[in-house]
Amino acid sequence: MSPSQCLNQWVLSTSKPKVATLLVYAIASSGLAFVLRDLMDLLILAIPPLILSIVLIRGRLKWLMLAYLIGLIGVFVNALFFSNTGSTVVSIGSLEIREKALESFTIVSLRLLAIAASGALFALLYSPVEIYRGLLYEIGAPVSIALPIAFALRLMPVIRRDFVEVVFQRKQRKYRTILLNPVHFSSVVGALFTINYERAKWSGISAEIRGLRRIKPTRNFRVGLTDVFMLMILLSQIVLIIAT
Amino acid sequence: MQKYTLIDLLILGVIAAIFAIIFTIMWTVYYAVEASAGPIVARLLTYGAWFMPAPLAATIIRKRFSALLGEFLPALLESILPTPGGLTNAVYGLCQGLFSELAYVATRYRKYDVSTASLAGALPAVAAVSLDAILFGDIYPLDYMVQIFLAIAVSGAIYGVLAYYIAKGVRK
Amino acid sequence: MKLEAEITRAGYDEKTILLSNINVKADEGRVILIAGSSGSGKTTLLLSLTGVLKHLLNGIVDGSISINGLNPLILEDFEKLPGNISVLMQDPERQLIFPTPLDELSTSLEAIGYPHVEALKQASIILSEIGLSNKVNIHVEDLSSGERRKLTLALIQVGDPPIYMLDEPSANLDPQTVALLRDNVKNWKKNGKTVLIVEHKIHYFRDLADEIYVLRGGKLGEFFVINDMLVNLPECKSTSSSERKVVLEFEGYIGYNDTPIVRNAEFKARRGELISIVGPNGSGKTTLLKTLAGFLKPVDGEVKIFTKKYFYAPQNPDLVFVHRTVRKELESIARKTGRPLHELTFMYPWFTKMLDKSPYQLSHGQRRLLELLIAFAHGEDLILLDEPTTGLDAQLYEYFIKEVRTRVSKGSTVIVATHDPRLVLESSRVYIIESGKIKEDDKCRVAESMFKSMGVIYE
Repeated sequence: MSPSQCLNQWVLSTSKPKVATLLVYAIASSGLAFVLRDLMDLLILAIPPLILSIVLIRGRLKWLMLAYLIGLIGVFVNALFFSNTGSTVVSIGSLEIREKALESFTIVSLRLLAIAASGALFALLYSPVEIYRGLLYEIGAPVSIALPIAFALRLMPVIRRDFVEVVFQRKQRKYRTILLNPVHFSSVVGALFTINYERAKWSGISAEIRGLRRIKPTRNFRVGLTDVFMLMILLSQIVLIIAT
Repeated sequence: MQKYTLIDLLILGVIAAIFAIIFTIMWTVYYAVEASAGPIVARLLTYGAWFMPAPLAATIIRKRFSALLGEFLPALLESILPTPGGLTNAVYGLCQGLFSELAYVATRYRKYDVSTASLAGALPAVAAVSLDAILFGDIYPLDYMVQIFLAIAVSGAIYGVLAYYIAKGVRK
Repeated sequence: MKLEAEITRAGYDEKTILLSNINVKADEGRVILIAGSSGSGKTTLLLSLTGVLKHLLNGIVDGSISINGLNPLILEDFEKLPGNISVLMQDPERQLIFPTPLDELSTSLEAIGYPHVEALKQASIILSEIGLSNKVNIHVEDLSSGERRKLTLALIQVGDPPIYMLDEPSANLDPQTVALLRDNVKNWKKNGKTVLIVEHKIHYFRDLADEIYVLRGGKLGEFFVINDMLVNLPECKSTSSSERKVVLEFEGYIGYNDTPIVRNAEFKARRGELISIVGPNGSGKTTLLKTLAGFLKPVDGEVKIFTKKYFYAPQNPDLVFVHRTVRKELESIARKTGRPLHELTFMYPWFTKMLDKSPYQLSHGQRRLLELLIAFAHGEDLILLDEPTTGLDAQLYEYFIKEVRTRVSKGSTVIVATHDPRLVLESSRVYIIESGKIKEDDKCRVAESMFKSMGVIYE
């Protein structure tokens, strides 16, 4: 068994860290990513969650990383537009890529990597439903946050279906299906909202009759081994960043 | 303060789900527009869409914090689905929602008309520009910064007006 | 009395009073059936009785109501209702608000006082009792419609309330699930529960009911055999159109994601035909329609359509509208068809009043007719309609059928998936889908059996 398989097995067998722990980790990493500007610091911030998520998550991580890489195109365009100063490094035809643009691109990419990796660790180690349960029963998030999230998760497949139908109807009626301008965008959102407003109304009525108003969030949090492990990693990252 | 009914909370759930789904699609649209038409036009055409849930939720629910929750919940949902933006989605959502809420605070929660909705769509631009500057290092010469800000705010105002009409068009 | 109500009037606001002089009384072990067609105020009655109309929808309910000793018109008592009464909503989509069966049940248990961990245990027990033990954490949308109904039935029995109200329970059910529901009602009755059912198709529960009333025009009346659909019932005439040109042809398998629902389907439509597709809920009518329209790919085979001007109108008209106002929708129809705008505007009396309103704010029937106009505007040669007559009152039905007759006589083809025997009588031909097979059948025989199953005696 390779070391990574060992680690994977170990974490999953000793029960996953709590949703709350990884939420704290992700918040701290994202917060630091906003503040830090030094290359070394950002590497310290980005690499541990990246390794952990590669080891622990695998399958679904590929899609997220693909989306991240696509996002980098935008970052690169941004860097060219806004920080293309300093000496020229590469020139492709009339396009000159200068030193500052590359520097800015690298820093921002690393920052986003730290955010994406810590976010992935939090969001991909659990199903969205487990996260909802964590929010309500571990962290004690108010019902006004947990209940909408639960209902959103319940409706998402239904709304995706509606979306496909709305797009099909627009196609039939020969209207744009790519929502580049505000009017097209709000025409589609309007249809989806109207249809699902009705669902929310009736479901809300039945929820009131069921007495769901009485549900209470709870803070039920016992620190396990893996939680300590995660917090140790976070702590050592912070120490390293301060030291360098 | 008027209490939220469970109907209100589920409406917020609907808004969260719709925008989380559409935003995951919008990212690629945004980059496509930016690459072909440049950052100003891209922001003008699409950026306001991200501020739309706030005035939509506020116009339909008409209670305290409805703009804030309307903006924050889709962003939180995106974070847990997840998208590459990770928890920054939630941070953006929270800050943008707070600024949007200010439009309704200014009327002391008395007015939910079209001009307040458009202000509620424009104000999050302050949060978005500041956060972009910090996170992406989008710091440019002042005149350019003002242009960017205006593009985003105008875009937000347009989407705010459209959000108002969506809320008005719903059958109660 | 477990349930006692004297409602002098009720409605959404002063201008829309929908119910007046309603008296309902029921004791333990009684089943009350209230029949009424769509738009008669059935759902409004349930909302009034439970206090929802007054407290959640800001409506008006005058009179006195007592539910297990509580008065739901007083806010304090309304908040105590959970545990005293359960309501089964018409559609599980209006009842299930959590992503998984486990969350759905455990949260309901928490609401009546179980601590979280206990609620989870109890919920798992209930789920294994109803045969969903291996689907505890599956998304509810991945359950079959029968499983979803089982879940909602388990859900309303949480806390063993003394009173049950069912809102048009047969509306979205296949025959097996109706049988399951009937078993539940029998059981409740035996155990001394009070059951109130409002239902369009009374024959499903007629034999279980102790009392039957009819809700009509907002008033509750004595029950009699509803045969008003028979008045002016046209004679059933067979028609022949076999010489005309074929516009659509299909041979193959239909289904979702490679899972066939109907095998060896053969379907043909000619110019100037109105074709009905009938069959029980969940048999695959909508799937067939969507496949013919190109929205779904056939599992096997190929749909051949010999025209470019065709349009598919889904069951929910909201999906079709793209404009902010009725006026703009009509303008787009005028542009498309070359019909003058003023002619469209005066086509139906409500258009002029609603021109600057959103199309979503038209009534259900009115939206249906607008959808029909859009469908004909784009699909001059062929349109496919999914359950086009649900929610149409007699007047709206006349408007609808008149437009269809005109188009068909001009050579358009109309294919409908329907439960409505009136449409079957109008049809040129009828296809029946049942247990995975589709076949053509005699329309007069089909219409007769459909009228019978609606509780109407066909003479």
